[in-house]
Amino acid sequence: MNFPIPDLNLSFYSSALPIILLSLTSIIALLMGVSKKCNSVKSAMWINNLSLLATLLMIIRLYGISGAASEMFLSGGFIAGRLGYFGQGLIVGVALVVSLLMGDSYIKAKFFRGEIIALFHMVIAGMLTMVATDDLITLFVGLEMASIGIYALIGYTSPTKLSQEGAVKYFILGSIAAAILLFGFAFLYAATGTLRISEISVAIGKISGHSWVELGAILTIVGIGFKMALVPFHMWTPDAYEGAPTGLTAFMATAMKTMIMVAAIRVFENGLSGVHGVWVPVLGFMAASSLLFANILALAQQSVKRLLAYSSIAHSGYMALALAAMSGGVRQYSVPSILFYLISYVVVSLGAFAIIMWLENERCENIIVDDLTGLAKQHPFAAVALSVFMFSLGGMPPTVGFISKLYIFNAALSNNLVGLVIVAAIGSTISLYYYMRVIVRMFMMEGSPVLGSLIKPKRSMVTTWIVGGSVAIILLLGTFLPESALRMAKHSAAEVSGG
Amino acid sequence: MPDFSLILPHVVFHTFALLITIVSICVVAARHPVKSAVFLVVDLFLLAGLYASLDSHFVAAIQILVYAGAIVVLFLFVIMLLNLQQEQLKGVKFTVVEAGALLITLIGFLVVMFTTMSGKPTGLGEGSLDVAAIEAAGGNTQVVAMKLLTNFIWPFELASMLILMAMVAAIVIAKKDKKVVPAA
Repeated sequence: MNFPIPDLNLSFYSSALPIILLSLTSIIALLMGVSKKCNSVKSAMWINNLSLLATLLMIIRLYGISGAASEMFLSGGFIAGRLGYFGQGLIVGVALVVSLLMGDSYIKAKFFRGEIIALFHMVIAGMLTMVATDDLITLFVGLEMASIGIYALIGYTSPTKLSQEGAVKYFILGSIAAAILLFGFAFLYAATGTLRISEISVAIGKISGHSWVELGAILTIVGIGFKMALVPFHMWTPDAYEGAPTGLTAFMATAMKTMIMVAAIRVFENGLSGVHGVWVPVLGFMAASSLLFANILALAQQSVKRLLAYSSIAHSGYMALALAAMSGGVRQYSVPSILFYLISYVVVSLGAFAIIMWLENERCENIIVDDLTGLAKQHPFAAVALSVFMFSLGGMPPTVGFISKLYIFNAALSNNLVGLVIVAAIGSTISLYYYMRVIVRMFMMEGSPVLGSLIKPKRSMVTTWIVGGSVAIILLLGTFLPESALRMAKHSAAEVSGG
Repeated sequence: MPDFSLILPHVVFHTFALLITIVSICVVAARHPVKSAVFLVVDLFLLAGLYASLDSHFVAAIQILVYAGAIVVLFLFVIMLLNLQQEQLKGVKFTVVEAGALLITLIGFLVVMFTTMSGKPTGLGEGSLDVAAIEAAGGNTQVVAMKLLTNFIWPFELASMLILMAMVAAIVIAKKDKKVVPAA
């Protein structure tokens, strides 16, 4: 009997080490949770932060030594390439920052427990799997690992009705979206006879215009659009974001978005580029409606987290716009602009959520926009930093938000998507109103007990460093250094956009 | 006299498909959770029949063993432990939004159905699927096992992680060492 043995060799283990390490640490954390000796917040914190740091360093090293071409392992199950390591690096970086912030928040004792850290690490391992695979089955398993853990974490960490409502809503809608996505994959498999993304793109060339491929592409974009939180599949986002503890909201808004965008780049720019006539209009419609509706709905929000949730839907819209920007045949701008946007969005969001987490610590509950009134008087540095983040989210120069929007509009305009860019510009203008509202509250209004009591949180070294770091990155990338970050984005994108 | 060996697979498929649709509607429409679960067992058995009619005997057997045999029995246990009663449907009104959602679902269903029917198999893929070819490759069980442990070993291993995680998640959610405080 002739067995084709899978090539589980040293080079595979070293390339997939980040995923394997996180799986191991999740098991260790789980065992620590049941042991009597090492079941403490401190030990959970140590193992969490150390393993995430080690993983991050490992990914940076792997990114550095990987060449322009990617290498496939285990029949496409795992890809060692720059795009994958780029996504993995962002995700693990976010996870590390979020854990540091969690260590300084009121939710600390609830989060740093063996079983929760185990779930957290498995979620990250699932995300790392999803961004580095050529196989639709692996992609789906990674997506489910990321989603199921997040459902539980939202529902568990803060036992309020609000968070349980968010978790249940996300769970039910997410399961339906996963079913639709799987249905799409099934049609793609039925038509092309393969589950490998790279082979699907070859097979589509042979059977152009087959109705099963087109149906599969549409069902896939619906499933992915749900996870990206594009309108009209955004209903779960505000509830889940508001219900989750703020650290996890930050994690969902940034790491989940990175994961789904990198996976979408692989599936759509690589696998389904042959049928872009089918999915680009659908994606364009979802992008346009996200840009308009999310920004309009955000105007009425009182809770800062809900406001940022709607803002994250709008930012998904910008990235979806860039994803659609390959229909005119000019492909080299699309993927780098998405990756650059991801860097900018991740840094800005983490900074904004860090400040919100710090402000929440005093009262242990969600804050609303009114709570920010007069913040500039008491905490001038925090107010200035939050203004920088708001300016960047709104896309004002000299922040990185402006440059990243510029790249996205450039990618879209070079593919003649003029209508979508006009909609995006209108949405961007609307969004300035609610970002400015936060700034006006902080700087131009006096704090008074009527508008909400004044917040006086304790000093926090971690928050100071993280906020300071993200302000520095935002301003540097917005003025002197956008070229180097863009070069990195182009390097990472070479795998799919071929230039 | 028509050739029955050509018609029979179609008859079998459409009978099973129709029954599956009816029973699936019963699963969601049944008021009592136990009835719902029993309909689910029937549904899974019929699905196994569909697999068997496609010559996937291994998947059919696994379907019955794992789903109908184990999973739904667990469902029944959970229903009994939670002591769920017949659902009380008081004052449920059919709103315009719900009617619209139903209409959109129906249209989507029809679109999917007609698109599926309009396509023909492309013939791309990994070899023939008829009985003789499966026989030559060593039978269903061997083919599935080979694929699972060679081509799909990475998702296969990760799936074990996924199941462990689902278990931890369920325990974490179900633990009752906390009070539910209403939202402010």
